[in-house]
Amino acid sequence: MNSITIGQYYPADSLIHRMDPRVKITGAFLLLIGAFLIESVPGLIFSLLFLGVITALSKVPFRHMIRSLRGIVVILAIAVIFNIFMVPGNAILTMGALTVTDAGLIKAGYMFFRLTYIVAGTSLMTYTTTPVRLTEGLERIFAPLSLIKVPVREIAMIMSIALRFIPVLGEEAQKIKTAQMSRGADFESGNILVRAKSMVPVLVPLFVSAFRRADELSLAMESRCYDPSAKRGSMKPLRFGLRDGLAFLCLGAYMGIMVTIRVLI
Amino acid sequence: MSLILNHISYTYNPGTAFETKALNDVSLTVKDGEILSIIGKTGSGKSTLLQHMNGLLSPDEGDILYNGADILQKDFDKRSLRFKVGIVFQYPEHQLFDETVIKDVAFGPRNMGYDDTKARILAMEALEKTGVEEEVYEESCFNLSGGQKRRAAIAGVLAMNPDILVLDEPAAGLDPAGKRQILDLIKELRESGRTIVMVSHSMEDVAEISDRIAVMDKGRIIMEGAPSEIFGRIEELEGIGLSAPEVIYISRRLKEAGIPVNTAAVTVEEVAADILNLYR
Repeated sequence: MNSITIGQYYPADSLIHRMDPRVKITGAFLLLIGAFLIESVPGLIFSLLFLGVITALSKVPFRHMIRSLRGIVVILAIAVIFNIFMVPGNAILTMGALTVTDAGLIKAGYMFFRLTYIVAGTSLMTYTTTPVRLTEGLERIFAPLSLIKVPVREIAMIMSIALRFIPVLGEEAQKIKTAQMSRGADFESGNILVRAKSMVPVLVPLFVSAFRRADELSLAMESRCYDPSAKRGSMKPLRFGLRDGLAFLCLGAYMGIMVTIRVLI
Repeated sequence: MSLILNHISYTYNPGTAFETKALNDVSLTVKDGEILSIIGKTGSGKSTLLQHMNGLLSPDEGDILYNGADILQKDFDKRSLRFKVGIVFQYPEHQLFDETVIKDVAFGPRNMGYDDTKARILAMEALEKTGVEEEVYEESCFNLSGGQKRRAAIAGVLAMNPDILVLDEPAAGLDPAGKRQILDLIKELRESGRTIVMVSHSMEDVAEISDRIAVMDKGRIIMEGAPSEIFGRIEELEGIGLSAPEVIYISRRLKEAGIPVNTAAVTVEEVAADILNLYR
């Protein structure tokens, strides 16, 4: 079940957890830009230090951060291998047609670091922010777009419902799978075609259940007079506090230093 | 023939922030030919316990023996165990998937390796036992009424002819007539020699059909015994968020008022007969 939840929230009470989601979204975005400004050793050390400090503040265990990298292992491997062999420079090692160059190794190292950095940075955001808060933050960030008739609120509602139901449907899928296994269904053996076919007894009830839930939810929303275009309040309104302002300052300082390092070194 | 769970413990999501100990040193023996009911409030570990009975979950500690064979051994064929210990989960009608009722019920027998004809025969027998009308065999599962769907889904497990039938809340969410049919079906199945394990929140249902009751709380079995014995311990049951059948409260009050009723009676029929006897 846990493999399906993209909302990989790690519950803890930390400075980062309590922070306004808008700050965290902006922060993740800035880390992404920062990753591409890393071109030198001082830049690398500084950005690592910055990420280290916020990870420590977030109380998310280190092995959780490592776990988030599992998803990009393939991309990481491809990026590193291509860089090692494709970048021209002084040859260090020659294996048949393939040549490893010093420049290639350095480039691959930076590439590895940048990708890891991006994933770690964005994971930190999803680890410390519940999907609901995240959508709320996005809704507020994109609110100005409603001036040009973009249905921001509706999109945010669709997103939060979708996010909310991912774990629910994941659990449901697991339940149905268990029940069909009790009737001797076999999901593990056979070739890919057989295995795809064996998923039918899970998928049909899952879709039926998804439609049933959608039906019930829309009925429940309508009976509470839900109007998609109405302006809504929030149970826990986002409050931009002093802490968030300071966090923004820190992010600004981070960007400033990263740019300075990039320009000067 | 027996199923023995010996000091089993199980933890969900070990080593994560969501770690929960669902079973804690549970020992339980399912005896041949009995109806064993498991009661306990939501989250007490009943459903987790059931999933150990056919090897869907493996305990972190402890052993499970089916007819003397250790089902946790690597070479034990768990898939064939699932044909011997059939589990009907909560709201089993949510798992119906095939085009027609009969095809869906035949899913289990087909997985057992029977050919289409034999699987169909087994499915028909099971549908007949569960009282699903013949006219709907070729209909889509989704055209049936709630009670019919439930009985068709139970037939889906029954068609595999399991020695032990495990039912998780078989009567939940049905109307009184549908519920009656399910309880009668369970009693009939027991008459024909099948062993039944049932989880239920309805103390009346449990009192009516059980030979034995196991009470769970916080992942442990805290009481085990005959219905009259378990429901005689009302205070303890109430202490863990359960209750006794209403009729037991009535006979208690009568006893307190000085009327010598038999407090070992647990069903409405038994108590009624007892009270009538007193005034004969």
